[in-house]
Amino acid sequence: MKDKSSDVKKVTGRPGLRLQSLGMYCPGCHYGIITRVICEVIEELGVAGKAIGLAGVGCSFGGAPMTIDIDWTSCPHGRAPAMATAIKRIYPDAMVLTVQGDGDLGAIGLGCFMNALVRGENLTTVFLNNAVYGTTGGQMAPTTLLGMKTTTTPLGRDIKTNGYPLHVPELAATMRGVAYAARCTVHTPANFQRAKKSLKTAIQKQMDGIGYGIVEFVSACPPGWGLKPLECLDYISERMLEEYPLGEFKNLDKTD
Amino acid sequence: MDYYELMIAGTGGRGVLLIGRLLAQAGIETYKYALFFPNYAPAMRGGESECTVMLSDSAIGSPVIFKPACAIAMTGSALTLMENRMRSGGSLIVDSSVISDRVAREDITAYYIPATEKAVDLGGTQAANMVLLGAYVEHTKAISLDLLEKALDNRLQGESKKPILELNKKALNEGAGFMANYES
Amino acid sequence: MSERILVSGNNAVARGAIQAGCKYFFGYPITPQSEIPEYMSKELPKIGGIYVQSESESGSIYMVYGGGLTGKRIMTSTSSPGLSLMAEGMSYLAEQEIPAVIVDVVRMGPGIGTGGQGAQTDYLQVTKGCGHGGYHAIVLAPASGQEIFDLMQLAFFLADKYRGPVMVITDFILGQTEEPIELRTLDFGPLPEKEWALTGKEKRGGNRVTHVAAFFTYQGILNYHMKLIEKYAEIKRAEVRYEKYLADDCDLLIVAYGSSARIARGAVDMGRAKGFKLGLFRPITLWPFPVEAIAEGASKAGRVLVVEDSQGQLVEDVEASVKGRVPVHLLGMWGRHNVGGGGIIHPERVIEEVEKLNER
Repeated sequence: MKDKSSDVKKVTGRPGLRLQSLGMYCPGCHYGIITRVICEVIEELGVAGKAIGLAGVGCSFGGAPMTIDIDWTSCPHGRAPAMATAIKRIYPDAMVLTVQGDGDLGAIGLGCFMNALVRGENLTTVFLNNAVYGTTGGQMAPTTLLGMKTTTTPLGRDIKTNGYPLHVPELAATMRGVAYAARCTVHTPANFQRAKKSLKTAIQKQMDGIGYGIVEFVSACPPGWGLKPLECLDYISERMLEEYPLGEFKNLDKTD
Repeated sequence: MDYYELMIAGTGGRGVLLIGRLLAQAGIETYKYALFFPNYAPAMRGGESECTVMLSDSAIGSPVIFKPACAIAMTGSALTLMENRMRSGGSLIVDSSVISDRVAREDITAYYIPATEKAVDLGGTQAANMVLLGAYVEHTKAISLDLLEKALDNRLQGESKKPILELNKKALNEGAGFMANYES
Repeated sequence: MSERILVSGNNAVARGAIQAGCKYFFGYPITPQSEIPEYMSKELPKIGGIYVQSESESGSIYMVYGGGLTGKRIMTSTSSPGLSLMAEGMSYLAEQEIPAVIVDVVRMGPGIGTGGQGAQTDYLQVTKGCGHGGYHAIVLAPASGQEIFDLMQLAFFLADKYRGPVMVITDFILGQTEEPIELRTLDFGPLPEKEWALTGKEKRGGNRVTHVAAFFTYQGILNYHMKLIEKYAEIKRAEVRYEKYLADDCDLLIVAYGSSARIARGAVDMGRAKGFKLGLFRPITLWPFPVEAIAEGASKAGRVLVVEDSQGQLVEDVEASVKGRVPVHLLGMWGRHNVGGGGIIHPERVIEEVEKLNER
């Protein structure tokens, strides 16, 4: 009798760094996919042993430390870049990565983040932009789209009351210490591959001592947006990417 | 038990704190305990400036004293301040080149030293503070002039500092000499 | 004998830290403590250390937090308004049990206060947990240059021993006063390995370390709290420090800390020369507070005079310790010799207060 199991080939699986723990994300959330991007990139670069991750407050916070098999700390809201600064200065050979949401980096921690860029720190930041505050229940974020309804913009975000959406990698690209700034998504397989390449480039810039790398991930929050998971993919294509265009805004081989 | 306390008051920028610090610096060679406290407004230059120096063989309690036994006044307003505060029986050393007032209190002894004048004669007004410090050390014998000169050597090192070092040393000795021959 | 040099209290802070093996300083300039970051920025690079000037005291405290996570000896220093900005981070350091030393060279408050000159107006803030949530930091209050130098070393030891933030509190007078210090190295005994330090897995043979919010750890948030409560109780048992001066034979016990304790010690000598039976009780740890020792000393003396350059903050803990058994009087900032920024409570003024009490 033929052993049928030899016909079954494993073509994919859990990344080695992805710990077996319960997912902490809502159905349709992209953070689980982004976790996979982070795992695969760290594995492929072979830097897991020297990696130290810092997770911000928000939905970025629960998952990363629990599910990626590297050293981690959770951080007070918005403060990861300051903490990462000290860690990287003390261990210059470490790969120091912050994972921060739009409220964490773009609102409460914008000053902290910008000052890390002013100092020209040699770090990598994964910036998760889903345009709402997910953990606290769908309030307005600095990246909320104009007209978008959230629990604190019940009539939709308007400029007069709530100002303008924040463009983080474009802003970061203006800073001299930044080596790499890009925006990506994981809402299609092709974009998943591009996102991996972006994060890999950003981390490589750090390991080569070239400068700060930031990669924004435009991602879905089905409960926050009041949409079904599949509808979110269209919303990203049609609305989010209109405000937040994909691409590399900076890619330097050398910072002065 | 040997114990000396001195308050120096004047205008910031005229070396009020410098001679206080120098005395404390030299003092640690002789005394087990020494203390220098500058009380000034850090954000302000040219304002009132004062400091306290204490030298002692036993532990020093308060770093501040309201009624000092000895004081140096480098400006008219410093003279008023110190005259009001000084302990009965104390000594008040006055730069009489720039202060025309005389001490009215009879329970303290005033020493009028033409410090700025002497400093100008030696080559620079900035050494008036050293003339006064020399006079103080001669008056109290709290420490030797040699130790003060050594402290100056440590503070003013290098070829470029040599002229000011020499001026300061001369001024110290000038003040001490003036006090040694002081006649009220 | 070790080398003896004349340095300011602020300089003694920096030298004491370096003597304790601190090579990492994260800070922000603020009067009257800027001599500390200035000295560190000059000296630390010489010994392979690092000085980073942050954008704010908020930045400083989170650099301290990140640095502390590596297991290295880390510090910052600030003055009162800066400490308010650090309050959030202090709470996290306590929650995450990160060793760090935070120095507060107090300036008058609230708000901007005198913009740089002295006072002791941070007592409540440093002793009651200046951040949210209810926690304690050990608070050491030196009163001389040598003690600043020595207690800085003790602060790093206690931070490592009990895993948490330790504060050293001085003020304008102590920070600016120059006194000779002996550059001696103090040995407080062995400490446990920091197996919790973040280093990257490869430096530890592959096992990972994570620090996540307290509610994820210790199998439940209450168990987390019980562990902290136990730790604080142990600190109260083991780490209370104080100094008494002529306090066993007095009929008026003066209680004061820091620069006011130095001034009060001068007043005790002055008073004794006049025939007043004065004694001094000086808490060295403001937390844990020497509750029992003060209660005992107060009962023996029958009267207490608290001297502090503030509106009356330490007096609350003294009253709580004495529990109404003897009268507690207060000479606060109104005892200063002038109304301007350079006002000081002199020992002569303390004696005036004693004379007033004696007439009652």
